[in-house]
Amino acid sequence: MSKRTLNIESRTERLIAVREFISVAAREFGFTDEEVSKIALAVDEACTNIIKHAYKYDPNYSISVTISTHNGAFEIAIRDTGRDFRPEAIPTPDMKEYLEHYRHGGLGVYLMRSLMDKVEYNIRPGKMNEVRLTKFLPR
Amino acid sequence: MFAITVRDDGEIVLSGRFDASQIETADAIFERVSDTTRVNFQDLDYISSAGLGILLKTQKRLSASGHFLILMNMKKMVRDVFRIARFDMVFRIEEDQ
Repeated sequence: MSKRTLNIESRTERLIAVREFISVAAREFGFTDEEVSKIALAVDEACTNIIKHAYKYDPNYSISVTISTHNGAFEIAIRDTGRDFRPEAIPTPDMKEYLEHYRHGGLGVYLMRSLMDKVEYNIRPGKMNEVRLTKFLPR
Repeated sequence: MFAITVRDDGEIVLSGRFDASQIETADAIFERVSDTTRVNFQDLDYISSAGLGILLKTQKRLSASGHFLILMNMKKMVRDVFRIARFDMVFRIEEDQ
């Protein structure tokens, strides 16, 4: 099992550094360019949600992104210390209904769930929020 | 790097990476669109839900007056994101113009 971590300030200008960090590791792990792009997008969406909702665009906070790899699994843990997050409060949108009525919000969560094999949350109220995204190497 | 330009004929050209850091830049252009408009994605390498949201918001506003966006020349990665998000249901997407 190997691990590596990137800590960034809570600013959207840092999303490019996160995508680069993820892309290099995912490529090394053996994913195709297409899969690498999808994993990087899912992590971008997770970080964007934190910057927007957990930290309300306050740049004086940080986000930690840790990649762990083991047995064909590429797992990214994204942690913040912002506002408590209730994942159950964000339903996966019905995209047909969403688009017919031009809704907004929830699209990032929809993409994360569509692009990754697993999306899990570990919430410790007042202490830390963690979202874990996992993608398995195709056999 | 992200860039958005408007040609003399009104076509909007996107290039680079369209993520949440570019919302204000892109919004400043798209909020001025009031007619059916072509958006050229030829040099756009990346788009996240932040970019999709601006396009959807613009399409919603235009649809009230019978207008719409025509999205052209997407690279495969960008096209895939539209397909996964099912945005191809509401946008007219043209290839290789």
